[in-house]
Amino acid sequence: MTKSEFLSMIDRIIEATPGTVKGDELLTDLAGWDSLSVVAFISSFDKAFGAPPPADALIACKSVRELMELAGGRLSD
Amino acid sequence: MALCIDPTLVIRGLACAVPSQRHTEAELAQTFGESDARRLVKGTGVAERRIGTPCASDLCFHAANRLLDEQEWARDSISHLVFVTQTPDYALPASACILQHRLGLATTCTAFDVNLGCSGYPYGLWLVSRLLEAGQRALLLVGDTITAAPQDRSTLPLFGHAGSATTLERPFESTNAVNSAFIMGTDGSGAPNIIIEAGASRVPCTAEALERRICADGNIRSLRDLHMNGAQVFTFALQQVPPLVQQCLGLAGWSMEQCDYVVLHQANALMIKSLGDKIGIPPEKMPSSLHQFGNTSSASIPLTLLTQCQQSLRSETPQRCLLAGFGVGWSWAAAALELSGMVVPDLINIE
Repeated sequence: MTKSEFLSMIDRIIEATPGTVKGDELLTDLAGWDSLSVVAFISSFDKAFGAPPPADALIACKSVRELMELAGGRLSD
Repeated sequence: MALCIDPTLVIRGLACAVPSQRHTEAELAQTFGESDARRLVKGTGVAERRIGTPCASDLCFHAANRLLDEQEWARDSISHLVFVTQTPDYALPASACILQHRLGLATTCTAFDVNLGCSGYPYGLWLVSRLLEAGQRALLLVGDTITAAPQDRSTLPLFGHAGSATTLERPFESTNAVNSAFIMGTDGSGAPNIIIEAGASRVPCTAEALERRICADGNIRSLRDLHMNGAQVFTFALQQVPPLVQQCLGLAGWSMEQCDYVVLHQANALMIKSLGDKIGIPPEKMPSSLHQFGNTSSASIPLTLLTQCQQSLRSETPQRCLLAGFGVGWSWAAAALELSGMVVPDLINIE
């Protein structure tokens, strides 16, 4: 998965127009990011990478950038 | 992981009862507003839930009464009564003792409660299978009336009330040579993720414990209200349930193609779909009652069997059913059963 596809995945989760999420946003500033989005993110992440993200690390995330870091080196440019 | 194969267990009947009172998007909108209510219904997959009965034992009582009458089983022919619930009538005595009396079962009948939730139905079937000796009959009652805090959007839109009764027996001579397979497991490190902290011995029900306040997740609840960490629960399920289902299929000696139904605990729509996709369960083999009844905790599997598979269970053609419950504890259990010719009364609605 590319970084762009990862951001598009978040667009879909929060039902935003494609290209809305750029990567620098704080999750608290992301319209539509709530507890339902978190479980949808876990589901999408699991489907993309074959395993869910570590829940503790996910809960600690404060920004989209930190969500991307959950994928480690599995995101390509 | 505990594994068990039982070659002579027979499941004879299943009945379920729910309260008549319905809680829908309209009621959610009164609390959270129309837009959020719509999003909650879409996100959880729960359009309607039944609520209002104070005691799970009342629902199970009505289900058991109907089932015993329809099967024409003498009350004194029941050797064991097991009541699986996390919402008992009292702190003590065990609700199973009260149910033994209400149902008119013999005083020689064993009766006890088991405190399990989402894993409770397959777990209860396994437990009863271990109790039953040749020639004995048992009644497994499984139900919950989990009530969420009125302004907690992480739990209120999800939980409904339901109770079930299942009759089982071990004939002197087995009429079929079908194996029932069971797998159970536990990981108590997950205990804080689905919990009602106050009300038992660890955290007494003081005024402070009952005070509802804004929590870290933004929801309003007290220590006496249900708390559920959705991210932890979802992650646990994605890690634990696929191997559980595969191992139970293997223990039973079935392939997925040979399985007629895979009934998962009805946690929420996204979890059921994600697990189905990950395990590779064809959607037509995954019945669901979530849309109509929500997450009914321990009762979600029997309620789904009854409401979605009633005719199949009544049929004399054996149906291979894999049941998988998982959640609070963490606790998980799966059962692979061949079901046929069961007495399955219509769903009972309780005023």
